[in-house]
Amino acid sequence: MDSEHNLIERAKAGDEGAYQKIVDNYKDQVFRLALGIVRNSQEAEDITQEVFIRVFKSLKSFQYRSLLKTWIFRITINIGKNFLKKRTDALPLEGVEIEDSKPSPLEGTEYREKLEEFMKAIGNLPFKQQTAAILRIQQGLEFKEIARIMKCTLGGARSHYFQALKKLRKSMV
Amino acid sequence: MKCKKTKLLLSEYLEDELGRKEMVRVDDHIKHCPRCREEMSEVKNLEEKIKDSLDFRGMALSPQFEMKLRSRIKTLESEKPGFAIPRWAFVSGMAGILLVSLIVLLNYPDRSPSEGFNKTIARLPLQELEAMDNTLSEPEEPSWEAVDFTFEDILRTVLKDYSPESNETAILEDEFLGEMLEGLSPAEEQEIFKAVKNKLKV
Repeated sequence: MDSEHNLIERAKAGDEGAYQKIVDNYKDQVFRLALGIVRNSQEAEDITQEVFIRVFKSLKSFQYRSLLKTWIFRITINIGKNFLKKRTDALPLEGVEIEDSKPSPLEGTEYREKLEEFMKAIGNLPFKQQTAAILRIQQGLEFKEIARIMKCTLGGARSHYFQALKKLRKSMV
Repeated sequence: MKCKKTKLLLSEYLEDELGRKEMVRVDDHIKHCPRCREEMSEVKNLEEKIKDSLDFRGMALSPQFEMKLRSRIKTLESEKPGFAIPRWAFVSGMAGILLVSLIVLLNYPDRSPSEGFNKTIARLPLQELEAMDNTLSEPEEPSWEAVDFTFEDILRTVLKDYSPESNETAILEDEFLGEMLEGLSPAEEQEIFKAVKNKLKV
């Protein structure tokens, strides 16, 4: 943690290398989180761009009230939510694109079908349940951390997740 | 522990993330509740399925991502001023300027640059005024602090502090009186002298 503190301080002081290291440390997690939210690789990449621009602009005001990861994830979720809002007005959620994907560990149609099935199911969840599920399952976060990111209570985070599981179970049977 | 609470804790129970107390309570409940045991095995299977489905590790950012981000950051940096003043320094600087302005305003309430010369002269003892070379183009910097007195204050002080027996020269050379006179207009100054002379029956 000390080294991350150091990294943040250097980035705050204008050290480009330190900022780049922060990007390198979190870009893949942010991209995957964004992908879970918007289920579109191009949009997820745009969100990732916006997240790191926001980090660049606001890092000086980062006061260590949370972990850097928590802060970055919260930014990602907020930006993702805005993307979804704009999109639901103009574009239906059906156009799931995974053409940009590299060969996966589970190559073939089975993986693609599973991915698409899950993406559709998760897309139908209310936003809070969806976020709790992605943070828990994809990012492997503890509920304490999920609660901090979502700015809710520990019980609230557990409840959102449990509701998400219930709905996903029904949709995946 | 009830079923409802147990269900909420199952995911953490499976990941061994609960505290010792909660772990024991969930453990006890599951041993005695077949429905929750079944629920636990369903949660386990579902989480594994979802994990596999949500594994986007096969997907990556495009090669252009880094270049695009760097270019946007450069643009943002070029929009910044040449040197950045830290916020704390800016705020302290502004507060300092405000404080100094306030002190100056309180001490020189209605002084405009054009009045400076006359007021400076007004605070000098009379003999210095007489000896002063009128050809001086620029006023000298005031050598003592200006104190604000109204005409009435000065008149009251002079009449109180000096008796008819006082020596006029002593009054005019009085440094305190000199200070008091400095805020007055030449006409007011003359009136003070007149009042002193009247009192002193000069």
